[in-house]
Amino acid sequence: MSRNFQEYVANFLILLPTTVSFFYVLPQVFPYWNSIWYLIIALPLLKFFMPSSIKENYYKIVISLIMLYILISLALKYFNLQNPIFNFNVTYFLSTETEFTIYSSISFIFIIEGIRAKKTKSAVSLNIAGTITSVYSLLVSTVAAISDTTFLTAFYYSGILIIYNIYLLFTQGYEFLTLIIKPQLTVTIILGFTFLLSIFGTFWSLHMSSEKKEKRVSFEDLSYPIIYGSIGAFIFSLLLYYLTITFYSFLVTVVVIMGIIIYALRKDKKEKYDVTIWKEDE
Amino acid sequence: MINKKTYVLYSAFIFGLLESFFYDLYGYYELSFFFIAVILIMSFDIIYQNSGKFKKIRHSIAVGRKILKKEVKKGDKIEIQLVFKNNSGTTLELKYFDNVSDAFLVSGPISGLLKIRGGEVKTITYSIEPQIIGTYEIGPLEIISYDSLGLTYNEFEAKIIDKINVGPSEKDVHSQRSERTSNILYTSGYHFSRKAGQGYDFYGIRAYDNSDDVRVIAWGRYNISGTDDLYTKLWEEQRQIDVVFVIDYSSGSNLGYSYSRLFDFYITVVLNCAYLVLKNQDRVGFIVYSSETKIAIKPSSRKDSITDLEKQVSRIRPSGTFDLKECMDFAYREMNRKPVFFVFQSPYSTKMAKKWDLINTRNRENIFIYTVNPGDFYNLDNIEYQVRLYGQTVTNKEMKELRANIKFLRSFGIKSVLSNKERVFINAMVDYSVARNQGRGA
Repeated sequence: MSRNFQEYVANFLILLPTTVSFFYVLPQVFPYWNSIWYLIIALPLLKFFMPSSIKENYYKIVISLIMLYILISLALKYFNLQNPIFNFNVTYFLSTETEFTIYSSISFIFIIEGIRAKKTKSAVSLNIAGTITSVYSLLVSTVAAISDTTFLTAFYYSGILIIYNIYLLFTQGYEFLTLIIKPQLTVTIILGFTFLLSIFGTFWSLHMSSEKKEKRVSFEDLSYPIIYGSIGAFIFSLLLYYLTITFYSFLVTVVVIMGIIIYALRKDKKEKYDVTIWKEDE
Repeated sequence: MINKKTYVLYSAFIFGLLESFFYDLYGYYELSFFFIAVILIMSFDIIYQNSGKFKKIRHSIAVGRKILKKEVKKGDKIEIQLVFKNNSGTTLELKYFDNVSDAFLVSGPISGLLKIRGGEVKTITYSIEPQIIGTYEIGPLEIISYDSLGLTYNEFEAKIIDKINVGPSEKDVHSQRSERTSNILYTSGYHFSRKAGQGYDFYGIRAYDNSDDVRVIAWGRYNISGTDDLYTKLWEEQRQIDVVFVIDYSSGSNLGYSYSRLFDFYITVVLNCAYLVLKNQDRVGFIVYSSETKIAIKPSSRKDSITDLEKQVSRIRPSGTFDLKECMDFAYREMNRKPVFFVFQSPYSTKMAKKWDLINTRNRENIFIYTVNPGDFYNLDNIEYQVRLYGQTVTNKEMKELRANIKFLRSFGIKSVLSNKERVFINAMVDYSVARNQGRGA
């Protein structure tokens, strides 16, 4: 396998949670999308055909254009002006449908850009950014099924519930939503499995990007950290399971994880150290 | 040392962990486990690298370097052996990198990844080929230990420093001497002098004087005008001249790139000239001068002075500044007679000439100054058009200044030449023949 191909595979594995959850909810969200989705899907594909000077700042330009569009539309709407040039309603896309379409389809851009990413950190960051919307969509689909409403109604309803839930978690110390919603077992299993593959992909990508193949340090040294890390995470997760509906789970996690990270960072050796010099008579 | 990407990854995973708390709110408890696992594995990997593996390498690895020849000539191949010994019981993986100056052409594994089993001794052999004269250090040997994920690394240094002295190569000297110039200068011969005396070459005749030895009477000319006049034969007197080559060894002479350096070029030119001067029965001496280096080799009619120069320059590198007046004062102090000076100056030292109090300078007519066009030592390959254009503007300005400085020196009666790389040797040899004809430095 060429290195390039391996990179694509590793990136795909990293982005698997986002990809799977995005395509899982796609049939449910697609009927509510307005025509802006053509643009969203086309954006990462159009980037291929752009000259290299634009490629570097492609998304900055796109965001600037969108902001400009919003400003113009708002101005037109506020002053109740007619568009003198086209016989087209410019303010058409200034709607909640557009907001929903962008929110639920933006993961597609993250997936395509993540797979093409040249650095592990980019792929990981894009995966985490992508899961924000895609995993939330999974929740919405569950809420829609329980409450027997449309997906769009459930989308706004669960949004309010989540905000209320966060408020309760920090003020009262318990979660309200988890008490009423039980996610589908298949979704949980699929999501768990994809996250596991994502971790594997992250380590593979990190190992691959560290050096060229012939200069790469073998994976042997990683065995101890994997064993100890997994055991630690398992014990810690068990602990969290019992603390789950209290605010303490959050506090304990912050203290323990930050403690370990700070310890690891403090162990860092920044200087050059001497090694023994070998003499011929030895 | 922790890589920057580690911090980015930590930030991403901490954010992911925070996000997983919201997933918890959605009912997906399992996701926190994955983020915690990744953070813990990353942290344990860093901790293991900076404690366990670090200690093993620091206390169990012993390294050494073997160099068989330390006094070499330019172009000689030197074999270098690196020895690594693992005194621990476990297999260790490390990367090594030997610091070698860019004056050497390196072939073989100067850096690489090593896997050494417990108790094993590994030897790495690579070779270097010096391309520029001077003294160079090899080392220290650097060892880097990475973790498997490339999140962090430890740097080690074995302070083994070896000095290698590189002298001029005979190949360079012969190649230049075999050129057309050497044929003209050497085969035609310049063994003549305008001074009459007891020599070997016939010079002319003059009317006999009572004090003349009867053995030198030109009997062939007797009675040539029918008046019984006697004539005496005259011979040219063979007189050696002293030629001293002054080489500017200031930092400015370090001009050049990779294997083409000004000081190296000057030494080659000087050696070629010196061999020709020596063949012409003249004495040749050298001065290598800068504020840091002051070497004077007295003129000698044998090869000793050249050998001495070769040795001396193999132990130094250009440094300091060059002041023409100070240099000439030093030269006159060190040399007993009044020789002809051929000064090879860096283009960056010409500005100093303005400070020279030329009124006090003795024997100005015996000084020849050569400056090479600095453009010949710039690397303009693979340079963008705009940069090259800017470079040309700077070079033009530089040349204008150089010409002004040279004109300034000429106004005091000193022969000063700004020439291209190819013309320096020929210019020097032509000036030598002129000086010899005029009997300067005799």
